[in-house]
Amino acid sequence: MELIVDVILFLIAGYWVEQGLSVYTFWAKGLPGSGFIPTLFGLLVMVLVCVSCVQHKPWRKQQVSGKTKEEQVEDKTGMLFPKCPKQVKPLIPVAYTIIGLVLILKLGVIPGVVLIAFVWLYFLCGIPLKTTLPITIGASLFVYLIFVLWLRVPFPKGIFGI
Amino acid sequence: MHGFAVAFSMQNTLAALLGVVLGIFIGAMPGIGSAAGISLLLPLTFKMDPTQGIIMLAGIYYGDMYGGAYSATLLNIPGDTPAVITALDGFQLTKKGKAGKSLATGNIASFIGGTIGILFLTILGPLLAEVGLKFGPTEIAALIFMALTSIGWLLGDDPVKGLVSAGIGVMLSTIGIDGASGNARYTFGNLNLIGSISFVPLVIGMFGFSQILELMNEQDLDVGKVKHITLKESYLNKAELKEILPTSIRGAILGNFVGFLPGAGATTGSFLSYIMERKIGKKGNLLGTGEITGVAAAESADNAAAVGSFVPLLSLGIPGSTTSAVLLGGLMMWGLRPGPLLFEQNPDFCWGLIASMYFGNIVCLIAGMAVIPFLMSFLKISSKHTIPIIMIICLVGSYAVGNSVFDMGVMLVAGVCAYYLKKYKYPSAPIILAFVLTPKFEVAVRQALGISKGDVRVFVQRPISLVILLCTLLLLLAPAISKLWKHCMSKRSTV
Repeated sequence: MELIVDVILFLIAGYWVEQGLSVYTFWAKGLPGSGFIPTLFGLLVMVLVCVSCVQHKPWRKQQVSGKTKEEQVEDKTGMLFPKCPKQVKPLIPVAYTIIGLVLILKLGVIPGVVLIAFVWLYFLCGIPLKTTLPITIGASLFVYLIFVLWLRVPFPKGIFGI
Repeated sequence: MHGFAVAFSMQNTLAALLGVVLGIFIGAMPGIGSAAGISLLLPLTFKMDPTQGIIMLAGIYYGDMYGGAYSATLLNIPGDTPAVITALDGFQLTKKGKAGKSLATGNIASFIGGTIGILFLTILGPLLAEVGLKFGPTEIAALIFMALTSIGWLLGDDPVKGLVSAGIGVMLSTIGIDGASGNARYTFGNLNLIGSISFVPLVIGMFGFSQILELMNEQDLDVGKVKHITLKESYLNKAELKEILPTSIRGAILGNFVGFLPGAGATTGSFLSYIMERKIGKKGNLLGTGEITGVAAAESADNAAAVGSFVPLLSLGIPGSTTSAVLLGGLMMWGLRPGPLLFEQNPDFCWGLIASMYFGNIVCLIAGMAVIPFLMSFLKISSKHTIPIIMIICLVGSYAVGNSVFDMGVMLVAGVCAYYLKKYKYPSAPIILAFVLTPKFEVAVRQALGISKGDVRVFVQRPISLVILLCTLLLLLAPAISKLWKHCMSKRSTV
């Protein structure tokens, strides 16, 4: 996976260099062009990624964890969503945030915020109602008072108009 | 003395108080920088007289510098750009259960930085402005180059990966319209990218949202949380005060100096102070792991630079930062012309403003220390409960800047990228710092080369620029030289 990240960085930097030289002009009429800084730093990133690869050799296989089955089971205590694979877990808040974004756009910022907080705390984390409700109300009030009332941020109104 | 009489009139005192409180609050809010905060509150001052209005706006500005450290320390979401440096050690201290000490350090260092800055402004204001004028584009470019080259290897465990991160930040900052030529660069045909990537969603995503992703795999979400935090543990003891004092003074002098250079900004000052502390501080090698001197270096320079930016503003009419550019707009709105004659033609205004800064600085310290117990109560909340709150702040905060759904998307993508980059030891802080510094750097380099008609030797021909570049070289070579020296000395001792 580390090698993939290095390759992606190398390719992106390469694109920056290619565009900087061919499209945006590196040097023109005795002065640096739009491509001057992007090309220089793109080249720098490409070189440094190669150096990093040589130093760390990410293509080597990772060592297998020496933990026993009991220890592996113990590792999951206290974690959120313990049954979910480790690689997938970070994607849960990403997906949830995208859903939250859609809710804010479609329903309005206050209903959206209420749902985001309540669903996560009560249904996904299993936190009791007596804790979930104050946090949900507090978060919604905070957004309403600061961003809606005071700063007058023009959030999408949604179907409820708030 | 007349200035104090002006500043301590009932109305001006209340204006300063209100400005400071609002500033601390705005600074603590991720999503609203000091420039945006002052812009939002500028209409409140329309009905005030110029002295009162500028006193309130100045209070907002340096109150904002105090407040920026709060969300950086507690949530790892910097409230403004200079607070990115504060977050490096501030949040690590929170994880160790020492959030109170971090906040107290930030407040005290900010107070020292602000006081030294105000003293410089009082005694040497016009003179410092003249020195600042000697810094042209070449010198500014050299100064920022020093900051850019130091970012990568000072922040993070691996210098090479740190430099890659800095390079990524530079590349990201080139997205959008090139100011010099008007070309749209790296926009991929997307209209939203023509105005470049917005800083606030980027930093909220990289620091705030990526943190949520990291929490998902943590074994115990309350690890590091101190359940019973007493008030005594929240403040600094004598030894700790003694530890941060020289750091704060050094940071303040450097920050003030950088602050009055037009275009350098508080971020550059804050970062250079951090570099200096890393190099010469007693615990320099521990910076980044949760050291109060790291917080002190960043915060004192931050506040000193904020005050320092008033020097070119008042003396020459040249804003030293984006925020002071907004303040300049306020001054002109009231019919005042900043410049060399301002002190002569409007002494009440100038000295009243300076006197109110002393007062505001003390109020900031008292208010800052007073809210620490209240802020500490938030730390007792389990991380499980704070995840949706951080999520909401990330979404709402990133939307609030440009009223754009695209910015929410930027926040999301930045958060995911930062998570995976951090997983493979590419630090996020250099990305943000390089992102902020590169536009200024690019402008300065092109202006310098324009003046010299494309001759790159200009960077070594101008004496101040040459000195800065030599210092940069020294900074880069110092670890290798130090290693060689130790090797030679150990060989000698064995012989």
